[in-house]
Amino acid sequence: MAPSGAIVPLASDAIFEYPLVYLTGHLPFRFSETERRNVRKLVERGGMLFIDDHNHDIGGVFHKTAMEEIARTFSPPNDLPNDNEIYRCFFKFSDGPPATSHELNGWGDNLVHKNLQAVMQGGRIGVLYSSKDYSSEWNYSPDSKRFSTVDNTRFGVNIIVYALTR
Amino acid sequence: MRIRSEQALRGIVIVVLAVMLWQSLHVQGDSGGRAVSARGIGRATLSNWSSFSKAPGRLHVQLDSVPSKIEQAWLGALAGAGSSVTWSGGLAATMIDAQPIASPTGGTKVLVAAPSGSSVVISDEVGVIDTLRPHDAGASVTLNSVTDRLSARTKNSIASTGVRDSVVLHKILVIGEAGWESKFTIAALEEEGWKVDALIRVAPGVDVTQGSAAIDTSRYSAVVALDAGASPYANRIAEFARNGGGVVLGSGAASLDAMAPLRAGAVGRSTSVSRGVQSGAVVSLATLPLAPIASLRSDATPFEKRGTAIAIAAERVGAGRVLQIGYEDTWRWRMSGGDGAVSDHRLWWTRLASSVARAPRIPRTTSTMPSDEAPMIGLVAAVGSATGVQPRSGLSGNQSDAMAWLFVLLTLGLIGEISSRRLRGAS
Repeated sequence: MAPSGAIVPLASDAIFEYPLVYLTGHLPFRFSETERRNVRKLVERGGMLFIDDHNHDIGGVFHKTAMEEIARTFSPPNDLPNDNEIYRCFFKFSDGPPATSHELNGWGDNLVHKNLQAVMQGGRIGVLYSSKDYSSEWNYSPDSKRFSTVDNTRFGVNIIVYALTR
Repeated sequence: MRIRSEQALRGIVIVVLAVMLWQSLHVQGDSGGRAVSARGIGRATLSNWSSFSKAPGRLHVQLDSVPSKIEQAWLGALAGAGSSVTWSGGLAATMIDAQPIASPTGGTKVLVAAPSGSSVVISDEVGVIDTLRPHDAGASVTLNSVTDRLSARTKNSIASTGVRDSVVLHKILVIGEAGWESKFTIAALEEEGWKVDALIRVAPGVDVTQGSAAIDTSRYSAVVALDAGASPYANRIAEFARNGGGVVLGSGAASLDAMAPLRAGAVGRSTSVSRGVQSGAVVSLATLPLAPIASLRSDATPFEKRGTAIAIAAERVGAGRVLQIGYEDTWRWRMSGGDGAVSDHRLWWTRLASSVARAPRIPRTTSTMPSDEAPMIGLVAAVGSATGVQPRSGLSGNQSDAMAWLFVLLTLGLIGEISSRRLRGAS
């Protein structure tokens, strides 16, 4: 585990040193055959892939290509029920995934997404997909979050705890 | 002179004939002190030997196969009646035992003892299952599914046993810090069918729990304590072991002072972290980091070694069993291993858990068939071990030799007497 994170090429075998892989972006992307094989192997062996759409736009190119790649590599993702364990494994999120200010401000696709999406692997989440652009807000200064009803960084803690314990 | 010689020869012939007649009549009339032998035994042979008015002095049988229990008892009875019963033959001492495996997937471990290098055919009521070649007089095979009765057949011996017991298994409790080792240990056990509770420490004083926190043998068959996350539970784990529970200690947990009563040995300095992934090599059990178990306690047993270093050791603590493992970061084996790494990692963890798990046995009511786990035992108990004496058919060795010499004497006497008469022209 790299507590501060590590940037690893998906095509590298070093990816298997990090069973929680976080993928984000706003440009279209395609897996190479090696990357696809590695990602599939990582998830099948118990790892977890978290993809966050930096565009927070279901009409955007990142979302469209990511969905295609997930479907091609695994299967099309489904809405994750809001009572899933990931919402209570550390902090409690009784209403499901916390919203981001981008959603509330109507940016991107102008939607507040009620659910995250997931591909389940053996009863646990293998691929978690978010259209909420958590990654933009998780690095905000705490001062910028003081007006938030819920600090959605807490959900990031849940994702890590879930990946480490399930 | 010549005529007297002929008369002497005639006399010798008559005496010899008389002796042979007397001997044959004497034997028929009284078998006491007689030695008899036979190749193989059967009910008829045993019945015949038992019908003598006096028990034969010595009985010897050359065996091609292990006699049945009735025949063994019969030989024992003859020995008890005063006969000296011996046997010879290259019978292979064969033994079979079947033990239920303490695992959610069930299965039976079949243990066989037979001469090294011999071929032992394992069968159940459906048919042949496998053929084993024992080394150091022993071999074993794990079977997922068998009928109630198993047999081990060598060329001249059949041992059989019934699958008599099943086991009661409870959950496994995994205790450790939040990390990949605890995650993938739980995953491996769950995927193999174990019901797993977990106490995962995610922050000081904060545990993520899955299931009950009460550590006792009514809830758990085994506890897997991986690292320092088990520290607050050390006393309860020790009590659990003393009460009959099984414990698997990772090197991180074994190095805790509080775990000293459970340690099989001291935790040595860990080898460097596996560089298998970085170098592109496939990670396996052999390349995992290892904290060797040193200064093994006198009552502990080394189970597995890497080179000269002890990798796994076991010991009894009270009524329970403790297994201390030196391998570290086994999750790397699962994630970066070869094609079979996931199942290998899964099986490895379930075997560790199975080897210590408290699993009370429940007799199976279906196993009522007779069995003979070690057929040679009854024979040896009845008449002793094999002797090197070779069998002779009919009379004993001394009697047969005497009869042969008498016959030679008789023949020479007759030839001499007739030749002498012919040579002198008499009719």
